[in-house]
Amino acid sequence: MIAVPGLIPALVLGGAAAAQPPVRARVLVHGSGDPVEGAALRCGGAEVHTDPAGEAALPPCDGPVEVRAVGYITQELSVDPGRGGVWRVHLKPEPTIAEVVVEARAESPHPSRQVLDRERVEKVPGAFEDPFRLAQSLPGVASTPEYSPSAGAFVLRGAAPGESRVFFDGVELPYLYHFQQYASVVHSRLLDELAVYPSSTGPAWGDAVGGVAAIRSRRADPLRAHAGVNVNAITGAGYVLTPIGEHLSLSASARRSFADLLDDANDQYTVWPAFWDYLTRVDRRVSGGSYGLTLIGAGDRYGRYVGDTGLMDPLAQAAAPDLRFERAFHGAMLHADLVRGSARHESVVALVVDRWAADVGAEGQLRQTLAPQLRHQTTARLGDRLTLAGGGDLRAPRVQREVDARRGWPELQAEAPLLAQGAPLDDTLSRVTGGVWAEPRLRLGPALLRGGLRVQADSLVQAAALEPRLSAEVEATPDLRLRAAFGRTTQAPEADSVARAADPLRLIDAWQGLAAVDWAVAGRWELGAEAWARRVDGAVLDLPGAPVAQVDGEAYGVELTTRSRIRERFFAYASLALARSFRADAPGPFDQPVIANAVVSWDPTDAWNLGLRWRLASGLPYTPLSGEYEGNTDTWSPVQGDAYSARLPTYQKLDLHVERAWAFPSWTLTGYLEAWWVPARGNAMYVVHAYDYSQSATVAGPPILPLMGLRADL
Amino acid sequence: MRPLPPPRRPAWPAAVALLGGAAGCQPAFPVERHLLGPPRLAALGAADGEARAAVYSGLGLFHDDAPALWWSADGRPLGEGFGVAVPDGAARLEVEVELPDGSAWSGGVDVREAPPLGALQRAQVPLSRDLSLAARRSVDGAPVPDGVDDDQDALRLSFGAADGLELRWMLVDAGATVLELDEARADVIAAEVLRDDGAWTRGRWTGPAPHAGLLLGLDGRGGNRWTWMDLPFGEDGPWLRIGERRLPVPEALPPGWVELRLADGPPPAGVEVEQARWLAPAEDPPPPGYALACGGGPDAFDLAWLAEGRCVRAEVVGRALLVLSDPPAEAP
Repeated sequence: MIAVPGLIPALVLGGAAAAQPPVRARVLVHGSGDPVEGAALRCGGAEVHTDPAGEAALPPCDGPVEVRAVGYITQELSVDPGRGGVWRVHLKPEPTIAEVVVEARAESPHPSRQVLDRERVEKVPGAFEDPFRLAQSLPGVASTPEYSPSAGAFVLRGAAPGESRVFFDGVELPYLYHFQQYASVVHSRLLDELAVYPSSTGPAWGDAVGGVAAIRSRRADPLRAHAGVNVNAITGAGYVLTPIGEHLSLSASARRSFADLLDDANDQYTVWPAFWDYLTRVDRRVSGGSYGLTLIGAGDRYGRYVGDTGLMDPLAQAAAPDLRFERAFHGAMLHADLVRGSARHESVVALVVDRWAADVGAEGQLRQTLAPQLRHQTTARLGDRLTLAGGGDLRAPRVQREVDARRGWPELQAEAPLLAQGAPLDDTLSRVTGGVWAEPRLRLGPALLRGGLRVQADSLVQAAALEPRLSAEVEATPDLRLRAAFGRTTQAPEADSVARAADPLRLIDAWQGLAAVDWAVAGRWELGAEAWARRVDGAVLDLPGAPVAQVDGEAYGVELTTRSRIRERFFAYASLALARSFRADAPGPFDQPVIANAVVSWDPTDAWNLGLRWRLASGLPYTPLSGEYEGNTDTWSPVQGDAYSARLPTYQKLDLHVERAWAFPSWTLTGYLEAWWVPARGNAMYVVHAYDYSQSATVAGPPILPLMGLRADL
Repeated sequence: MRPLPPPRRPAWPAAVALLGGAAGCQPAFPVERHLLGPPRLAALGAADGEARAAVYSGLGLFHDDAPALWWSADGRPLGEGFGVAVPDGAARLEVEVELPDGSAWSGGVDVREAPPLGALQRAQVPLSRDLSLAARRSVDGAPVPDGVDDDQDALRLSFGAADGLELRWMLVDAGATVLELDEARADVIAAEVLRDDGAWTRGRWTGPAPHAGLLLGLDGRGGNRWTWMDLPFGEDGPWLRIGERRLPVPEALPPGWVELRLADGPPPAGVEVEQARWLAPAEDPPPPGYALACGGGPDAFDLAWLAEGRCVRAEVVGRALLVLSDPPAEAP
């Protein structure tokens, strides 16, 4: 045995004289235990290389063995020739190679695209291990106050939240955030990529006039297992990614909040908030592709007093209505990704069930959705210049609604929208929504032209539309790319709105376009500018206590971005979005004239990571209210003022992230600390009113919030 | 100054992180439903064929400038001001109210005649610092006709005929707090009330003082009745009792018809009795010659006219007014 000084673990290799037992070596990465393929083991004049599992039979020799691999520090060690078996070697990575990543060169079938990969998700401050939280740092995505009712809103380029869609491996999930604002339902370790397509998408996406976010889950490494546990102040979680035999692999994660196990009800919560989620993905590799099964689910529950008991007298407290909220969904997906000849076929079929219950005493709502979904896409290369893509998608949700309400509960709009309307219901809504599309993609020298056509239809509004989508990209120089797109997108109104409307609703119809330039400066820094505009006909306004209406709208803006990224070592990113969004000639609910973001993440050493994120955004508009006295009940009813004529204060937030990793031979322990700071003047989350609406004020979120956690990765 | 609930305390940090929106620091507004001030439309109804509105001036139970009221019934204009007759068959009354300072409200109520509000029982209740429901319900008090002689005790108001009525207790902004006990009882405390970590406790006493308020009874269908109340704490009488009003007078008078002359006084009453002269027993018809122009006809003066703005102080101060004083309430 040879003791290796410092943090490098021992390396012991047996001598391999002919009379000695066979000796093998397994070369692994220090800190993760990943196998190192192709590592050279040299002794005397002989040299062997490790296989994909990191193993190799040692050449017979009596001298020291040199272990060398690209990207790792070479080790040279003495060998004890008398011992056989398999010997482990842990190589420490060399200091990171400064590989500059130029993201603007990434290929995409959509003319506008922003991507977050797992590396950035885990290191950007403010994410707190939440992939989707970072989406609000991307240009074109509305920035909403943390913990506000709109914190979980996914708003693209001024569109309403329901006008954009989020797909997980091609399947739409009922909701993406626990409690609609806290944390997304996907463990960050099982995230491969989050892509945002803000308007003017290709024809593959439809039924979303705002835009699309697409989450891609992570497939397990076919060669070795990864696993980890992490715990922070709120959640405990674990994940595993592992091969199972030669052709199967498993990715799985589970999370649960544990605050409810430590505390129970208090004067605000009658049932302490709790959430859970899981994700399991099994893939089977076949010749030219793979098949897979994914199971995903999430659930939230809590109970709270409807009013603010802190402002009530004892009798009112004792009689305060108690909201019980419980929502959970489960989804099963079968997916296939096959390459046959020059064509790639990607399909997914899924069934998602969602149960959404909320009650206040004897009044309550139950909304259960059973949603089969199907999506297919084929991309075929028809020569060097021409690619033809086509496909289709279908959703057929069946919604059962039961509402027992004696009055409206507008204050519960986010948590129980059917109860908020206050109308008793017992019905079932069924619809079939879908589209088929085709898109030839023609490359002519430096130019790429796409001419797509989508046919979109919906059974509930009994309407169909032809949607041309045209786009062009030109690589003027290797570092300069120009993009432009124009097209039509339609969307079917939400089923609840269609059912509530007095008059038949029509498809929401949007024409939108963009022009953009991407420039890589000296191959290191990227600059981007994108101007866009959208005209909407039939945007739906569905507010409690008001009739459902469809109005026209328009939105336009320009987004400036700059970024630099050295893989695994440093990235910096900044964006400035200037935009306006109008509905019926008034500011829309998500009109944010200015949104600025800056993110820096730096690994000064292998052990440390430091990060900073700054966000600034115009306050969101809201509609001021006044009161009208109802003498029968001595209560005041809200009277809507001019729509969205008031605005919250400008929102500003600074997030700091410090992370320290301790690498052991086959696992790594990481501790991290985050501090979120919101300046007092920018800390308004939402507006509340006095009982008679004579006064209003904003509710402030916590100005500073320290968060910490531990993570162990095997 | 009336005590305000403390700003809402954020819940445990994990709950802030989980449900920040629901756990944020909600501000305590300087207006709430137990508080009459600032100016407020406090009640609406129809009584004795007339439309009525309890318009609180923000000053006390008096007005110095008359509010403007515009009435309509079932969408048709009905008239302006006070004493507007409600036509037979009208289903819904609506009103626009405006004060000279620009305060304005609108409201509506179904037309439904309701029986007069019965008399309140008053009791003096010794309370500890603990003002929780359980602590207060465990203490009984001694009946009193007017107010409490020890300003550190609570004045418990009980409304025996609450069947079918929902009661709303409101105080003038003058340093007292009303805490409801159950559907028919409430405790008035001349002190700040503090809430800390879910517990309600009594804070600083505000000392001997006259307090005042409004009791509104609702049947939920427009059959509303209300009464203005004087709630003396630590003050000596004798009192002139007119409904739930208590006006200190130089010397005790028997019940019956009384001639009053009022002078300007401090809030909450806004007037004080300069002279009081007993005229006749209550069984006699009201002595004539006392009608006020602002009152619209009857000889007897109703102190609610002053509280609601039908008459302003300048119209009643120095005038000879006829009131009907009540005997002390009998113990239940």
